Amino acid sequence: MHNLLLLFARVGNLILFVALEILCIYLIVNYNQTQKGIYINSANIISGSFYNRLNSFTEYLQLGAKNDRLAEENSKLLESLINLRSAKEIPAAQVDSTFKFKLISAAVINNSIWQKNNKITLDKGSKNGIKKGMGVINNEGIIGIISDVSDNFAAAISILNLQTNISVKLKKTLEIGELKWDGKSSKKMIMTSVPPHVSIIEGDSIVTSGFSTIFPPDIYIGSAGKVENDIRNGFLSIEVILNNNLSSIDYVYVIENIFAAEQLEIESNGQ
Amino acid sequence: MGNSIFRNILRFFGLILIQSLILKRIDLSFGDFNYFNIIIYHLFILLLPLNIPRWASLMLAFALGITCDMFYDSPGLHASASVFTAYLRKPILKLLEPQGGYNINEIPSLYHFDISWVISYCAILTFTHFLWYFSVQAFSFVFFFDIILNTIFSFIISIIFILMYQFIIRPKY
Repeated sequence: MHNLLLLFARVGNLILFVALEILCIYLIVNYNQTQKGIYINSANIISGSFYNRLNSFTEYLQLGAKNDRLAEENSKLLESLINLRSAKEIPAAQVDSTFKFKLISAAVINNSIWQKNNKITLDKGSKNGIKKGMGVINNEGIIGIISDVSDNFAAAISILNLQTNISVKLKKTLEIGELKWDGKSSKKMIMTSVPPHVSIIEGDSIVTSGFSTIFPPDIYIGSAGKVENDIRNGFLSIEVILNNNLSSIDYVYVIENIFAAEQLEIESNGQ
Repeated sequence: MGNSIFRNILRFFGLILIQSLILKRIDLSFGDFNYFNIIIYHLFILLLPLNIPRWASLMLAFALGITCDMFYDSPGLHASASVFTAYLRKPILKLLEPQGGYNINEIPSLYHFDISWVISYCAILTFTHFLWYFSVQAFSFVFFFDIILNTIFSFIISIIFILMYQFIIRPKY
């Protein structure tokens, strides 16, 4: 008891100070709305950041599987979008039978943009249903065309390739042209063979035409830039600023056109 | 002795009235820049007699803060800062102790001490008072930048008023 009193005499002021401060904090938290809000919030900031850290760690471990699942899901969504778009003229009852595009998601395992004839390698091959001649897109635009297929891998010609020749159109006027690459910038391509009477404003959308069997119609490629007259043949050539960034593609979708063989057959019969 | 108690009671209410009826209403915000707050009521704690027991100064500081809080509608906020300042008073006094020691019957004012001593004494305690006050007001160090700005600008303007008080009134008791 004596010791207790001595102790109190020594640190009594400190105890009083702490007690008064606790009383103050109690008053503050109980009566002041702002601090009450922050008190609850602060607890969240602390516990929230802790959970966040834990989550970012465990999430990291599952990142690969998650990405694959997302890509799979995306391909399904994009597939139905493309099919709906190409079937929007047809009554809803018949839509199912008009689904003519299938999407296969794949990861890019090799990519180049600095050469004149750039190629892309994908991690899926004929086992997954990929065939030569299929189109490759991502959610932001077109990527290329499959050129070689092995069991487990596929090689595609990038659109950044001097041999590229893709049928495209101006979204506004529906005027068609050919998409080519001049081998200069990985961000720009050129739309050639546009008749000179067409009026084009910078920023006009350029989409796939859907006339070939490779790409479905109305996939956004990019916007129009400078317009030039081609002196040799009188046609216009339009600079196309690509919407997608081909230097940083990771997941892509390979498009299978179910009726491609049928269309090609009837087209070759006509000639 | 009786004179000293009377003077302190007078100062207690005087400072509270000045603080809550005049200084509280002065709006020194320039657009978004509203970091100037004039706070001088804690001068009461600073000017308590040197011989007052520490527990008494803590209790008085709590009473002062709660009274001030009544006018500011913020129960506990000023009380918390005042109690902190009262607790810190003794170590600061010890830190600034002149060579000959204190005459314990005096109060730490300009009447008994020279100007540089009064400035450093008031400045240290005012700054810590504000730092505590704005920290508790924000109640979270997430607003660290806000707390620092509030403390610095309020300190600059308030210390001028505190020194003016010391110069004009030159409290003896």
